[in-house]
Amino acid sequence: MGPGERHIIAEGPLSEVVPQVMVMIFLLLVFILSITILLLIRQSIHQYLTTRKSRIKQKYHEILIECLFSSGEHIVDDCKIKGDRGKRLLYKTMIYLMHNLNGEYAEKLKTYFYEMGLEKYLLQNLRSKRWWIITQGLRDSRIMGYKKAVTFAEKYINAKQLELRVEAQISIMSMKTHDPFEFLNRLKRPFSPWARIHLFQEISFWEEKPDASQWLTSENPGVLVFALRVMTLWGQKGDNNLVHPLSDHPNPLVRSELISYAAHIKDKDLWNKGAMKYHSETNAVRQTIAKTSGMLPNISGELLINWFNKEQVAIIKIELARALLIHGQNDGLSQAELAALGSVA
Amino acid sequence: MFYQITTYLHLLVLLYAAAAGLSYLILAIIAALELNHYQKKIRTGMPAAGLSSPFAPALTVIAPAFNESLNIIDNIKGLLALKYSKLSIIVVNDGSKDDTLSKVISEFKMEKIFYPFDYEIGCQPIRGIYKSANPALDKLIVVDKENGGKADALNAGINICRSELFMSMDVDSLIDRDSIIKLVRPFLQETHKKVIAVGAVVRVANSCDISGGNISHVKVPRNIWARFQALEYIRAFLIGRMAWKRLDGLLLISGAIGMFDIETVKACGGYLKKTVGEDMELLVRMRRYMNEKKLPYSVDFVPDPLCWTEVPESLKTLGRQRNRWMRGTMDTLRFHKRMLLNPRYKSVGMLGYPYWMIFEWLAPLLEFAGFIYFLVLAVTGDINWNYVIILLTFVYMFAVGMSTWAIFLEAFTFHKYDKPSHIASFLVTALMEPIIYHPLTVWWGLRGNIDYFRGISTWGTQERKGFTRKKKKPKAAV
Repeated sequence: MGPGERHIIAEGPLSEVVPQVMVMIFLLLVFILSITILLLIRQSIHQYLTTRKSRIKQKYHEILIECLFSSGEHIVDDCKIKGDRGKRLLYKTMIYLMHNLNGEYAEKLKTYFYEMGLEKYLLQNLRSKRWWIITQGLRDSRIMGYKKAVTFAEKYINAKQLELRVEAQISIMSMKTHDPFEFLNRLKRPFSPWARIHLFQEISFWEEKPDASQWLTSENPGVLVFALRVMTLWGQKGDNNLVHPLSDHPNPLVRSELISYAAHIKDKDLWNKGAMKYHSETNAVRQTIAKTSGMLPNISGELLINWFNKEQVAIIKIELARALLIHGQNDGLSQAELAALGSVA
Repeated sequence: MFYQITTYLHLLVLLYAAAAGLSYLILAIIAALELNHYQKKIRTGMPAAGLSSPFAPALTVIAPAFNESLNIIDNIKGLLALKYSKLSIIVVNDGSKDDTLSKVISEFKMEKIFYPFDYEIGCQPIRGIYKSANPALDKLIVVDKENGGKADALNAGINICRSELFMSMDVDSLIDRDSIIKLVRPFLQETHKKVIAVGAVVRVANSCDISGGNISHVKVPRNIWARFQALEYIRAFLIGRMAWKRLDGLLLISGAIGMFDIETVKACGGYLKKTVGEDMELLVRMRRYMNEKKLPYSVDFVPDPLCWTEVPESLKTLGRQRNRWMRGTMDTLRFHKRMLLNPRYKSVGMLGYPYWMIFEWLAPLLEFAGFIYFLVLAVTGDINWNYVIILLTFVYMFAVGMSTWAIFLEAFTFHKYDKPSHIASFLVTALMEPIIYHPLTVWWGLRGNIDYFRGISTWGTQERKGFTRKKKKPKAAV
């Protein structure tokens, strides 16, 4: 390679690159300027729209409140709804209001909602192709008691998007068009803690609590944990034929939940069945057994002492010591040790 | 021969610039998509339902403290205001030489208690565990231990933990009150993959107004070096971390805020004490462990700015920090070198690790080598000015473009910097950054490399102004 061929990039007088550099600088300035202008425009439009929307919403809000506390015959005229945008805002205002209302006023608002044909926006959202819009549609349908949404919800109980499927599950459950918990047996995806939290939040408001033991037929470990926890919280006793086989369940979370359930409803046989297998259990399950061992009367002192002598994990050992203390098996412990156990954090 | 070498070097420089440019571009696009997805996701569900649900997991916040006497009371009060029902707060006094512990004991009426635990993970001896006599402060636990450094203090906290999850943080950082529910959400949403760690965005608190242990008014830092860092943080967190989360190649969750599955952390042996980059090392080790055990897992990242930290305002302190970060990166890459391009470690080994190696560890070396090469050519008179000018203009343009994109993403998502003057200030900073700040980061990175090979493994002296007091407070090395 000769000296003349050594450069791979165009070589020539400096003035030749000046236009290229100028173009690049110009492009950069255009880019920055566009972004700046876009941000400023966005900010002013956003501010303008927010103010306008909140003004209209406030107006609707006031009219709706007034209607709720009066006969409210001419709500559509009062709201002066001209176009689709106005109706959509009214729809959003109603949904917002529904979050803060219940009883007679909530029912009255629902009536206005359907009288004004605003359910068409629910349907629009439910028919959307975007998962987050459908999710919002399901949530709003649930608030407005729009039972047709259940048909849509049925399609999404195993949706890929967790938020969508949880919303679908809550909708089916809360609208109770048919067996509200039947879907639990049809779950193909894991029943995550997020779903459990939301479903429990929903059913905790029900006056008539559902029988959680009916969900024990599910093969989904998440559903089983959910069922056992709900049974524990509400003190529901399940059918032994369904409950007892769970002590051999392969999932440690289910076994741990079962132990806790057994202790809370004072099912000593079930608790013993799980506790006898402590040596082959995971730390978490052993900890639950130890923690609950003071909750039941007449627990075998031999079991606790043998376990206490073999246990390596300090926190489990302390729980066992505490249980021994509760069951009066405190031979050999000094007063100081007893005092320390009594005050253990 | 010399000309052949220069031709190859030209090619190498071009190749590196092209690879860097292309990867940054791809990351910027992926980050925008991921942010868009996140924005839709947070509009759904009822996050508040998880705050007090019997199905919510128990959580512990571990805050290591060393010579934090000035701010410790305010910081603990800030932690006590965090919203979550099944919450414990463990403040680990890492053998402070000042009155950190006595201040906490007297302010919160703490008493030494008998608190059983095992040294499951190695840490310096724990001298005592304290809880308050006031039942309202039941969630607060103070651990007093021998000094062993931040990693050691975190390990002590993990040993004390009785929850399923823990959140590690710097006690001097400001944590948003809603941060826990936002960080817990990915753990609650786990499906067939176990969520092992979740990170969040850290922002710069310098010059911001603070009240009640929280940021009340976000401002752009007045100090130029802090402003450069503020821009750098926006870019790194909103583009880098977000994109790597999507690619499942995230290698770092900031030590200032991160939530972890305690079982996995314990199985991995906790934080490594012999490195100055314990946060990155832990995550890489956790990922390595899960891959080697063939356990399905995921690492998530929340783009909400949940943590605000004070960054160095002097070049000296900043240089020391960057030097340490570089040594931490090198440590992690060296300890886990078998992951490099190893398909067993999936995207971490095939994408994340090589990216960090080339664009985080080697970048300062390559850039410095390029500068030397440029000087050599200038001295020998073989410089091709057309080439140099075009390349430099392009690189400058690209760097400014990336920063502008990050500012754009911030403004369209979380919009914390809400005044036009904030945007203008950041845009001006973006224009200056490649000329003023970037060469310095290259230099500090280079110094980090040199110090690493010299065997220096200290943290170096840190200097902070503190959020509430404006006097300089020396902080001894841990």
